[in-house]
Amino acid sequence: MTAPISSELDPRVAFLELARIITLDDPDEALVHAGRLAAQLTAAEHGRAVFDEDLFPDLTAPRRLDGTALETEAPLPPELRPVGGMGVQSWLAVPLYEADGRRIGLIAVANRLDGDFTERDEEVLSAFAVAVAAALGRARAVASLQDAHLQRQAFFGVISHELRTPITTIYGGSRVLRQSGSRLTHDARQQLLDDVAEEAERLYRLVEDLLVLSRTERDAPVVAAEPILLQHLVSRVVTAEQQHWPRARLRVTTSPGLPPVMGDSTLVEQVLRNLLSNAAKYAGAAGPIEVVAAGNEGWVEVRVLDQGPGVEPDALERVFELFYRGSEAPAHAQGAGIGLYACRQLVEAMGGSVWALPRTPVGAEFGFRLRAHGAEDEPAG
Amino acid sequence: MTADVLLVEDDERNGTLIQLALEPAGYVLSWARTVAEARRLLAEHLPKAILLDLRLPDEPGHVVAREVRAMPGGDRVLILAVSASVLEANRRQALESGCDDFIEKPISPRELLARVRAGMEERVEAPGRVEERA
Repeated sequence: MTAPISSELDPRVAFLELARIITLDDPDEALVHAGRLAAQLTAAEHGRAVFDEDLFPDLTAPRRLDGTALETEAPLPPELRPVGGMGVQSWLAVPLYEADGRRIGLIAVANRLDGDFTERDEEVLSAFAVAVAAALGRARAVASLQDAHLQRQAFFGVISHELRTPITTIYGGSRVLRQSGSRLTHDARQQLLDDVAEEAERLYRLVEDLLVLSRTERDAPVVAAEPILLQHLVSRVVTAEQQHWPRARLRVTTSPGLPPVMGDSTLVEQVLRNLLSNAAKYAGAAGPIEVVAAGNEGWVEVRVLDQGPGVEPDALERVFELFYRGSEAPAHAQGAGIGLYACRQLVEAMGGSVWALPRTPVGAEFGFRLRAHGAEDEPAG
Repeated sequence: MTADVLLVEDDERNGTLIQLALEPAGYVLSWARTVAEARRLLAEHLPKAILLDLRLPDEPGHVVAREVRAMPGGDRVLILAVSASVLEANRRQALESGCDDFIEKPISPRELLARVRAGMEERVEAPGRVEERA
């Protein structure tokens, strides 16, 4: 391992001449690199190979696995072309396997000091490969634990922030009212009372969403399956939400004769409230928000249509991820990306699905569908 | 009228509350909802104190502290981070960026007023400390 490396040499050749161990922990990169190495090795005079062909899916060179010298018969891509005369007299390569049997790379050695590589060498190197793979696996496990720890820290940071913000208004607002309420103007006092009430509501909703989160951490949320008439629920929730978002204009359209759906009405309300507050936050000032309930082949769909900034195409799926927050979020939009995540968890637990779509020319559509009562056998179209 | 205190806060209701805590005591507030807005206001006028939220929609709040400290006279400004982001890392980042103190939300309006008052008096009474900073 102490042989001098000539600066003239291709580093990969130096690699070989030093009989260095190749351990590449990025699987894709490992394959490319190992593929290059194998291509070079094909120019060697002697060799052994115990890796199988599908380790190198991109390598078009002919190769044999019997350990005899290989010759290239078909042209290789330039970057894989064997390097002739680079001084490889003998070589040996064994694959690295993860505990689950997945190949993650290759250990190759070249230029045995004395004679050719033997079966005994192969056994030794294979045993070594097992130890290396185990060490790599442990290193990965440690890294993933560290990741989990950081994620946990970040999670509690966000949750704490989200809880403390409304508590600040409730805590401070009630103190101002108690200590100096009589000195405030009527309007200021009223505003403060409204703020405290609104933030108590926000806190309550956040806690409800967090409950969904804690349930899905353990298992699927427990939901009751009861027939619900969505058209009634939608009208009721929209009327209530309009109070919370006085600046937004909410309009409801429901198709006549909608069948009941199966679900848990409390949770469906939570889903719709989240979608509406999302629309009001992001697009409340941009124009009316339409809420449409309609039937669609064994399903009933509720769509919330706004005229706001919309959702970037690559974010349409991501908006339902935990802690996702759109870059278009206006300064006054509160929230930490918990509400839409809760929506998806709840709707999926009730056997339905959620979606986000762009609208033309502007705006976004957020919707969910639940199975119509008695249509259980219909495909989930 | 120039402002004594620049409030940098994106939550409307938290901001209103801070206004209610300070204005009756005679402080004049200007209010920025984003870091960009704070920059605009700071370019016009350097206040005596800044109350700085750390989680803002465009950029993290601590950059405001860093930028103010680099301005001529920026060392004399009292900067209090007032934040619901209370992890040790948030606190450290705020103090390292030049905030004088870190106030955790929730806070009672009376206590906030007391902290602002005390911090500003300390700044006036101990100019030597300001010099040492530079």
